[in-house]
Amino acid sequence: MTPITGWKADPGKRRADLPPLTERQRVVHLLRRFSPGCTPELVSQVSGLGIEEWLDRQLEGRVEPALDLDRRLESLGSIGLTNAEVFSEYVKPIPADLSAEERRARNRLRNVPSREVRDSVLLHAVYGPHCVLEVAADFLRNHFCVAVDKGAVKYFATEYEREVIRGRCFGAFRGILGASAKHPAMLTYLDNEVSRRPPTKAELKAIEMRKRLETNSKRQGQEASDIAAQRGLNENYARELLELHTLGVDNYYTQGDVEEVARALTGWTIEKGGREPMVFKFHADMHCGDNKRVLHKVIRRDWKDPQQEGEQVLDLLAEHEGTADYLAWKLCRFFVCDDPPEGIVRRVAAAFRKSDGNLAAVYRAIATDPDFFDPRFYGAKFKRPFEFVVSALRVTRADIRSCTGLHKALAAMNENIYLCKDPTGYYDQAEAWLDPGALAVRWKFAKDLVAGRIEGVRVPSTFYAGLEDAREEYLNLELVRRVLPAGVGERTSRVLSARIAEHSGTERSLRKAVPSLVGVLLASPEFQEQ
Amino acid sequence: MKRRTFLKASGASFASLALPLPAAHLRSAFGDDEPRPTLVVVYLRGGADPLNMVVPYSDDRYYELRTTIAIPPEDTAEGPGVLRLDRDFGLHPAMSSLMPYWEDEKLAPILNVGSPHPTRSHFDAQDFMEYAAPGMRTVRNGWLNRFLSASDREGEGSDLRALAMQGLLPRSLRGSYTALAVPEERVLGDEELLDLYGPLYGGSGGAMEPRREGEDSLIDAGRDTFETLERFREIVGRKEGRSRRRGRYPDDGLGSAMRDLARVIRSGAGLEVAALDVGGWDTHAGQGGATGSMANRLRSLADALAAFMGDIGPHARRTLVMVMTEFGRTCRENGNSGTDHGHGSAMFLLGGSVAGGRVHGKWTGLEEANLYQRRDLEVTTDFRDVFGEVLREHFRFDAPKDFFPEYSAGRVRKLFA
Repeated sequence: MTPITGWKADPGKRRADLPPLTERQRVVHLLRRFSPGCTPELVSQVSGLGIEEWLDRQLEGRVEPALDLDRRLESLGSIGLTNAEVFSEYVKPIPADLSAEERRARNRLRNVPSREVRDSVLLHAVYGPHCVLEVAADFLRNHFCVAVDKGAVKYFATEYEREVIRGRCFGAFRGILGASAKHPAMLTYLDNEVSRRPPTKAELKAIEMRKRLETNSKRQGQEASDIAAQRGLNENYARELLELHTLGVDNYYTQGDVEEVARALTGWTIEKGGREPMVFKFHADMHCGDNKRVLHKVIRRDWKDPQQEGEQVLDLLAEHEGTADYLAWKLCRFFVCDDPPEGIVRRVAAAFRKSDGNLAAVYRAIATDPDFFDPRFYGAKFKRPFEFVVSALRVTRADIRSCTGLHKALAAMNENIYLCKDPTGYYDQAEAWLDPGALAVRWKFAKDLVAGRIEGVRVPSTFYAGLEDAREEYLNLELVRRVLPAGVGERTSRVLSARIAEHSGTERSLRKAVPSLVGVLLASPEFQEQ
Repeated sequence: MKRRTFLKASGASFASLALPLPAAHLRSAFGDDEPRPTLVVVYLRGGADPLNMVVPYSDDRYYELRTTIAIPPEDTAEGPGVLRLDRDFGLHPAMSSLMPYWEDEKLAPILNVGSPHPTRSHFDAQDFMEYAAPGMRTVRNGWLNRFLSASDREGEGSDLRALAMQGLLPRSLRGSYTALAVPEERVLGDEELLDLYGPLYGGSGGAMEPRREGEDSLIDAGRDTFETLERFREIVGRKEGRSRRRGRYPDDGLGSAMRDLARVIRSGAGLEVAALDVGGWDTHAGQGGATGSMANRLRSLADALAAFMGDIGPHARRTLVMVMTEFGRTCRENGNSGTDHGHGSAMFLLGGSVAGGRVHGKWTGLEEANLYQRRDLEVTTDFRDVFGEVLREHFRFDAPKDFFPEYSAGRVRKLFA
C-alpha cells in the first residue's frame, strides 16, 4: 500500500510528550471525525449522553428528525424519485422540429435531477441529524465514486445516492457492493452496461446476411459483420472493482483476473425499455457462457442462472481477507490519521471479518479502539474542502437558500460534489489538498461567507446576536467557543485579540466587526484541522 | 523557499533527493543576462490513445484493428483524413493548428514511449510517471520538484520558478521545493486576503515572522501561500494585461489556463516549470474517429498550444511544451467504439530547440507478435529517457546519479537540434 506522508510533524516523536486526551477532548475528537461539524451544541449533547450512548443512538438511527432539513429538501422535487420516474418527468424527448426556446427549456429540465441530488448531499451534510451516517456516506460516496458528467449517470445519481450510498451506509459491505455493481449509475459510469461476449461466427454471419439483404451490397454486409466482431469485453468496471472497491491496487489479483471478472460480469446491464425501465437487468445473450477462473478459484458455468457467476465473484471479493484489510486501512485513514498504525488497522479488519463486513460494526470498532483517542491523532486530519465548507456552515448555523454559490466554491477548491474526475473518488489525505495557493481559496470562502457574499447563503443575525452581546473582554473566548470548540493556539488567539482591539473604539464598531472576527477563526489553521 | 516539514515524517529512502545539490549540475550555458528556459508540462489524464493521435495510416493492420474509430488516410465525403507527417504517420485532423509548427520543425512526436511497469491502473501509472519512479512507492518528491531543488541557486534567479496553472499541484511538482498552485482569478484578485488572514500563518504587513521549530506543514503551506501569491502579483502585475485577449485560445479551461501562463512568461518573471492537467482521455466507449469526443479534446489541446506558442512571441525560442499521458490504449478497439487501458503511448515536444519535423521513437508496428501482451504498443523509449533528455538539452542540467531512483537515463538520439 502507498505509504502516506503524515502532514503533522513526525507523529512518532510527539507521543511521549503528549498527555492523554481529557474527557472533553475525547468528545471533541469524536465529533470532529464522526460528525460533519463539531458545534458547541453537539459537544454538550455528547458530553451529556456519553460517547457510547451517543454512538449507539447514531448507529441505530435513534435520532430526532430535523424538521429544518425536511423543509429544505421539500423544494427538491426529484430526490425521492426512481430512475424511471426521473426519466419520465425530466427527460423529455427533443425532436428536431422543436422551437429553440422549447429545446432550451427541455435541456434545462434535464439538468435538474443532477443539480438537486448535488444540493441534497450538501443540505444533508449541513442540516442532517444523522451525524455518523453523513460522514459514512461521505466516505462511501467517494469509495463507490460515480460522476454525473458521464452519460446518463446524471439521471441515475438521484436513486444511487438515496438507495445505494445513504441507504446502505450501516449495512453489510456485500450489500453496498452488490447494490453499486447493479445500479445503472455504476453500470454506466464504469461501462459495464456495454460489456459483452464477442459475437460467435454464426452470429456474425447472420449479421452480414441481414445487412446484405437490406442494402443489397456485399461490402456493406461485410462491414457490418466487421463492426460487430469488435463488440466485446469492457474491463473498466472489473478493474476498478478489484483495485478501488475491494482488494486495493495490485493486491492479490493480476490482469488475467481483471479479464475473468469482466467476463463473469458480462450481461450485467440496464433494462432500457419495457414496463419497468432503467433498472438492472441480466442479459443472458451478452454473457460469456463458460467457466471463469478468478483469484485461483474456478467459477463454474451456471447453466440455469448465469447471473449467479457475477454474484459469486462479488461474494468471493466481499469475503476475501484482502478486502477486509483494504477497507479497514482505508477507513482508518479516513477516520484516524493519514498514515494509520498497523495495530488499529488489524483490529478493525478483524471486526470487519467477525461481523461479516457489517459497516456499522466497523465504524464502532474504530470509534471505540483505544488508539483512536491517541493524542497524536487529535486534530491530525486536514479537512478536505467538502469537510471545511460543511463544518463552516454548521458552526455558523448558515441559512442556505440556494446551493449554487456553494457548488461554485467547492469547484474552486477542486472538490465538486459528484463530479470527481477519477473513479478513485476524492482523496482524504492532507497530501492531496495542502498546496501553497490552495489555502487562499479557503480564506476567500471564509471572508465571503461572513460578508454574505456567497450566493444563496447567509449567516443569520441570530447567530451573531449572542456574540454581539458578549462583553469585550469575553468576546475572544466566546468566539472561539462558538466556532472552534477544540480551541485555538497562541498565535490565532493573539491575532483575534488584536482585531478586537482594532475595533473596540465604540460598541457599535465592535458589533459591526463581529462577522469579520468569525471569518478570522474560519480562516485560521485550527479550523482546517479535525 | 523550502517546505521544510512536509517530508520530515516520510522517512522515504529517496528523501535525500530533496536536498539541494550543488548547482554544478547546471552547465553554465546561460549567461547572467539570458533568461532561463521554461518547460511547460501538459499531462493528458486518463491514458490518451496514441494510435489516434499519431496515426500509422500506411499500416493496414491499423484499419483492421479499428473498424469504427480509425482515422482514414485521406479526406473522404464523411470527414477529414490524417494530416500527413511522413509516409507512415499522420496527425489527427483535429490537430491541424499544430501543423505550422511541424512544418517549421518545432513539433516532435515520440512514438512507443512509456513506463516499463506493467500496471494498467491510471492512478499508479500517473504516480509512477510523476515521481519518475515506476514501481517505487516510497518516492514522494515529484520529478519536476526534484529538478527545481537540485538546480536551485540560492539568491539567484527568480523566486517564482514553478507554477501549476490550476488549484492543486500535480504530483510531479509536489515536494520540498515550493511551487505555487495558482488559484482562480476571483481569489487571486482579492488583495485583502493576505492582510486579513496572513497573520494567522505568521505573516504581517508583507513580512513573515521567523519560522519556528516544529511548526507543522499547515502553517508552512499558509506561509508559502502568503509569500508566493504576493510575489505572483508583484511579478505578473495586479491588473496589467489581465483583460488582454491575444491569440485564438479555445474557449475552455485549458484555453484560459494557457492564456494566463503566456502572460506569466511574457512578463519575464523567470518562470522555469509550469504544469497543467487536461482530463477526459479515458475513452472506453464512444471515442469517435476523425470527429467525435476525442477529436474535440484534441482540437482544444492543439488550438490552445498553438495559440500559446504564438502568444509568447520571442519567448517561444526558450520555451518547450511537453505533452504526455500515463499509458496508451489497446490497439484493437473494444466493443463500444472505444479502447481500454494499454501500455506504450506517445509524447509530443513542441517549441524550444527540439528537432521537430520528424517522428521520433522506435516504432514496433501492429503485428500481434510485436505487441505488448499481444494487445498494446510495446514501450521502446522509457519516459525517463525523454525527461532526462529534456533536462539535459533544454535546461543544460545533467541529472545527477539517482535523480531517477535506481535508473540511469539513456539518451534519446537526435531529439534536440
